[in-house]
Amino acid sequence: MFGLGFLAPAFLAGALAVGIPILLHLFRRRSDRVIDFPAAQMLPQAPVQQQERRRLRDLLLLALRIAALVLLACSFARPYVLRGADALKAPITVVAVDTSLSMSAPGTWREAMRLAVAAVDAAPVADLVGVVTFDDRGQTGVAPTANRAEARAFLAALTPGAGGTRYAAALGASVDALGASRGRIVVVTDLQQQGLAGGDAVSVPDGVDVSVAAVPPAAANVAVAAFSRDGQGATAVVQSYAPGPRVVTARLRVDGAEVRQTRTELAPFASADVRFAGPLPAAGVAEVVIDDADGLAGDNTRYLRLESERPRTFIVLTADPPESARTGLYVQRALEAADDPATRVVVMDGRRYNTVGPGDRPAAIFVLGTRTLDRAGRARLASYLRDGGRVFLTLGPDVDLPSLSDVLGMAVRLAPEPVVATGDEATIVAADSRHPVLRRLAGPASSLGRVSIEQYRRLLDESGWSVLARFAGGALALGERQVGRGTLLVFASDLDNRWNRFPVQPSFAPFLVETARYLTRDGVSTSAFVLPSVPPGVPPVPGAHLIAAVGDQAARTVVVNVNPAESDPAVTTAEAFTASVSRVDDTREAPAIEEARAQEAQQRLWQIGLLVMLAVLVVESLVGRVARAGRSAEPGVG
Amino acid sequence: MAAPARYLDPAVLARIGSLDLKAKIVVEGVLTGLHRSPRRGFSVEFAEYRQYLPGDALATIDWKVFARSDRHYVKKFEEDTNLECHLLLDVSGSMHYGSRGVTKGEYGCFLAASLAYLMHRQRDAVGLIAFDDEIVHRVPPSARAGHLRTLLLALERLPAGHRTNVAKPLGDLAKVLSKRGLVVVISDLLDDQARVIEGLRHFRQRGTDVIVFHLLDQQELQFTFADVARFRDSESATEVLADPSAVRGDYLRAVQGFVDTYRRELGGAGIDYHLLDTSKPLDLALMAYLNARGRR
Repeated sequence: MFGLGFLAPAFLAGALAVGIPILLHLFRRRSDRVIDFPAAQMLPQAPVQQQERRRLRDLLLLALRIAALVLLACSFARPYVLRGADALKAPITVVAVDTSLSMSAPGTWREAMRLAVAAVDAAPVADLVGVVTFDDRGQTGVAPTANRAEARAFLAALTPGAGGTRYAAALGASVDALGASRGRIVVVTDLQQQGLAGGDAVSVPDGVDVSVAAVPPAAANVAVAAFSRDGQGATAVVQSYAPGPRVVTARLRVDGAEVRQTRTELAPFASADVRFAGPLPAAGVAEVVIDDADGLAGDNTRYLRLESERPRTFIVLTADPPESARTGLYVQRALEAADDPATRVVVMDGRRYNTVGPGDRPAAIFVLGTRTLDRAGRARLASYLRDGGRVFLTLGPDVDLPSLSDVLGMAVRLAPEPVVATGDEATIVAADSRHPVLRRLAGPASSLGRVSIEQYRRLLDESGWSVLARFAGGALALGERQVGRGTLLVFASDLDNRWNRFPVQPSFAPFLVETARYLTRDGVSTSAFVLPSVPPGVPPVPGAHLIAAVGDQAARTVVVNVNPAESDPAVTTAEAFTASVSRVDDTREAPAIEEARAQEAQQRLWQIGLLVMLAVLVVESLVGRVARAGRSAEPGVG
Repeated sequence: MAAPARYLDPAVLARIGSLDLKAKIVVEGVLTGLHRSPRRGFSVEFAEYRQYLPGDALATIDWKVFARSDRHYVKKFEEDTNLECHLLLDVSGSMHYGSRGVTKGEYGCFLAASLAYLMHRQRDAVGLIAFDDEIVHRVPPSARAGHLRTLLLALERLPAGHRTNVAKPLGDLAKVLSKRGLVVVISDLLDDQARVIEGLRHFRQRGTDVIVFHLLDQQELQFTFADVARFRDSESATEVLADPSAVRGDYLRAVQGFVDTYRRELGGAGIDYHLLDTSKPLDLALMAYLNARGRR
């Protein structure tokens, strides 16, 4: 308001007290008041000569009294002058446009653009307008601006992509675009049910209005859901999402040349295996293409790299042989739960790791114990990490603290004795719930807060660490840092069901699967990806892509396919969508409040306000005294 | 003796229900502060005999009784009145004005009751005449034992008057009152000054002593109103629009001239004139009466 902010605006209600002197003034101003006065005959019949002067003086007194009350209320409200962007802060309307694959259905996108432009035009005049696009990820297309033509131009150039639908990404990006401002979010989407299936925590601060502009989804769709080869040919799975029977023609191409073709009948909402018999080349890229003019175009093709995939290996490193101590069993089972045929989990103790040849480079190493690592083993592990390896280290009872720095190739300062957790200290609290490892675990259904920790080790120096989670007592629970070219994740307790019961919790397997997925996110050892996961340098577009040689990694071809779940046009309702949005206390303003406090403390306008109020009261007293002196100059009759 | 003095405050008296009690409180409060009795020296009449006691003055022994009975008896006398007093109380509409809770009319009643009580105690015959533009009630003077109660009852039941015409009832009374005595006028005298003065002079010309208690309210004397208003004289129904801060000086000068005229003219005619502020205690008025009574 007028470039002013207030730390305690509730005190401004005190300014309503200005009504008191105004009412008194109006009451006393009535000049038609009649007073019985027997000696009226002795009053001179002079005109009311000083009425105007007196009225002006009364108005001056009234203004001074009002000013004093307003100054008092404003001073208690702790005012400060807004600076920079704060002074321009305005409500924001964010239009979040769904650009996922399902929006590419015939007619859907055109309607979506119409609704998006309408949302831009319908935003209140005082609002800034921003545009966010989302599929699996959300990103700001147009930062909040008063230039609505810019938003319209961006929308005109927008096209749907091949990604999936994830409403948490949409709302997260929209909230980021809002910043600390008030506003509303208009989600333009086909309300695909898949967008809510991830179990993500969809949280929006209180006070931010969320509405949906729904477009009709694809009426029917047929998609290639899977494509794989075997020794005698290849098989594609074709899924129908059409309410009636469909006949589709499936073509098999190798390196762009069609080699086979077959027709398949599909029952309503059913799938069918399409078999392409006969040998295929040992190398190259195969693709299956179906004809589906009514449905989504992006899922009519699926790609397959014909080279046999070398399986990626996860090593679970324990202190004792797994046959004797059964250590590493929980981690092994959790990693195998991903049921990825290209993944192999090997549990080995430190003595055996010392003998693993340099050619067996694992995708990631889960270190549960270092006690039996010798000097060569420690050096090998440190070299692996430094050269771009991925290590997940637990600080359980089998970790040898004195040699830990040798194992990691860096200094790690830990308390010598483990901490025995008590009470509230024993739970885990996500510090970065958007981190890929924790993103799917931050929801209420699989909350890490249910994990009870009995003992853990305290990291004494957190500098250089990204804290992903903490124990409720404040110590680091899960941290990440770069070591050389490698990535190190540390969990400050153990994962062998000895210092905690995490391994028997439902969230344990998802936690480790997400951790493994995160550690191998750049796909060093795989060549087939499903959107949105693509290695660095590869566009999120279905097809075959060549990755140039980097370091000791040779150039290679990878294939990227759409997420088959995105092909399902089933939709939810706007009510269900709104109900899935959980509200959280608006903490976005916390930094702004701190900034405001700092500004207010620096400016100290409340002191100036009180001083001015005192000066006003002094003037009011003088004016009032002059007025009274004018009335009582004569002593009266004695 | 703080308590009696406190009861002389008109505002305190107004909260006391009984008029005779008010009068008693006022009079006893005043007399308590006096060192000698105002009654000494007045005529007396026989009351009783009693046996002589050592210390009694020899002059008080009744020698005739001694001659008949050979015993010394002292003859006791009781004071007797030789004064007929008329209390003239103005009950016109202007007397109903009071800015501090007690109206001039109420103050006048307190004063009349106190004077009546005091006079009755002195065995003076006291009567009451209430008037506005004519005599509205009259209690003939008497010194009988039950007369005071009659007079106080009349004061409590006085009807509210209307317009003031002090001169006319004064003239009428001057003709009616045959016996030389004392006339006490209690009024705000808001009337034609020349006629009022002329009426009062009639009494003096007939040999009657006159004491005038001129009652004015504090606002009439000081005029401390703050805001512009229409000031209405309820008797004449005339209104004057005035800004108090602007007219106060002129008004106060007019009132001062009004009072000075009465003081000068009445003083010149041998009439005791006392201006009373109705917010001030009643003892000033009683003392003024006693001084005047003492001169007779």
